[in-house]
Amino acid sequence: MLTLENIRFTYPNAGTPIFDGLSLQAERGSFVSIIGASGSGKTTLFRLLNGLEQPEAGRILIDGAPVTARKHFASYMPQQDLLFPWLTVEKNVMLPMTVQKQPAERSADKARAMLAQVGLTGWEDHYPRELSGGMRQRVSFARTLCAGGDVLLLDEPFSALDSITRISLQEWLLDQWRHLEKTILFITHDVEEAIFLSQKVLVLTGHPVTGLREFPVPMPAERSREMLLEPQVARLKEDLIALLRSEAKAGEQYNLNESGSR
Amino acid sequence: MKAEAGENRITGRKRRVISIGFMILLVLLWELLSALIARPFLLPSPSAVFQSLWEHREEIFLTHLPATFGVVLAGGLLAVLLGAAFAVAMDWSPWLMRALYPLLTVTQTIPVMCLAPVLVLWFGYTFRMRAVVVILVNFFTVTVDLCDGFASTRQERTELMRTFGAGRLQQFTMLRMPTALPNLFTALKISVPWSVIGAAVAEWLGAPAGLGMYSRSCMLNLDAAGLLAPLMVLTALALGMNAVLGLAERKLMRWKA
Repeated sequence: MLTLENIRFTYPNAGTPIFDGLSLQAERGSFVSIIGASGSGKTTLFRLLNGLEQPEAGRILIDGAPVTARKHFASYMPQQDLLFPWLTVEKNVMLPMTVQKQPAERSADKARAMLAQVGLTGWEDHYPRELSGGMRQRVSFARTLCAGGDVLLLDEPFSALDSITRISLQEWLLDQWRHLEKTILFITHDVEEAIFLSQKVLVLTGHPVTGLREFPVPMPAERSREMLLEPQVARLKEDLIALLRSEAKAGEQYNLNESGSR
Repeated sequence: MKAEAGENRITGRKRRVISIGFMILLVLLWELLSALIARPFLLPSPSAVFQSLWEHREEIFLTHLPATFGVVLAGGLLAVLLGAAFAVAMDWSPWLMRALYPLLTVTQTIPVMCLAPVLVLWFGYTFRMRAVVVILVNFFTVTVDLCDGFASTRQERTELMRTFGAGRLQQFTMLRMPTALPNLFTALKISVPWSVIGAAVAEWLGAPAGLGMYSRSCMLNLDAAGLLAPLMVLTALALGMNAVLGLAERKLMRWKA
């Protein structure tokens, strides 16, 4: 279980905090999506979880223990694949293990196993430029798995892909999640993507963000794209869109007041 | 599509034929012009230059070329090592970067070659003096090029490395250095001709041996063909060194293709 308790965070040079008293919980092995209007702090939330930023107040716990004790509890997958062009696909996947100074032989074996897992056997010795956008994201996912965290932080990983590739990668990711026994936190601005993938959707609300609104997704783990058309799922989608729109409007008003008071 | 690709190949070959043909034409024109002027001490013909090169082949290739090549190699390598050391230090310490970078960009505009006579005062007509000229000519370019290369590292990649737990040293060796590799080759390729020029100019000032010194002594004898012959060797030297660099670049950066 991943728990955030009363997190407070302010960017340097920013007058007001972006989070104040933010709490959230994600059960072990669950798939949770986080949506919010742009500028609502989705990416900042991940930066706190992957250690790039430290909260001013509050605690991040994993199974009740503070995360500072466990170094690599969360593995981060960025929006762009950020593969190193000078490394082969296999060496790219090995990168987190190389950084953590794990034995090269074992790292290579694990990297090959992960590439098989994401369906890229045979591409080990190719360079990233030879791969399509969808394949590169799968390499990036394999690399994330090799970073060794029980929690995967996926930051809009499909936003740069064309819609057909995106749909097939969503189904692919769902399939991966069922086999992996990892907790996945998934940032997206696409409401339908959030619903299709996750067991619950969290919406960041307020300026600063003080709380999360939680929406369970009324679909079984084994799901298909057609289920998105069922009435209760369609209603959830409309509710989420309405909430995001009102939040975006409130955000505009807030920013206007902020710039006025400065 | 196929036909188009075929046409492209033909135009590629055609282009090479045209450029080589044009070069031959220029040499022929030069030959004709020098025959018309008929004053070999003013404008020697290409054939006279080649003849001079052939006549003095032993002296040029066994004495003067090795001397110049030694200066180019020693000065060039030291310049790259020194420039790289400065670039690494500046990349590591933002304080050093702020202090030195503006200074380096300004010193780049100083015609270092004109300082060569000062170096003669300090070091005399020695190998060390000539090597220092070559170092000064190249050092700043290498430093600035490499600094820019390190700085072109994407922030997102650095942060990704941090999420893997990479410290500064790992970030540098695994990310910043490979990122700057293309800049290193650019710097090296610019350095080669400048090293050759620097060495030749230093030899003009005075040296026991070297293509620059040989060329100058021919000038004093009003031997125009003899003056030009070593210059052709210098050009070939620079072209040859850059060809080797090009091979190394292709081998080291196969990922770029």
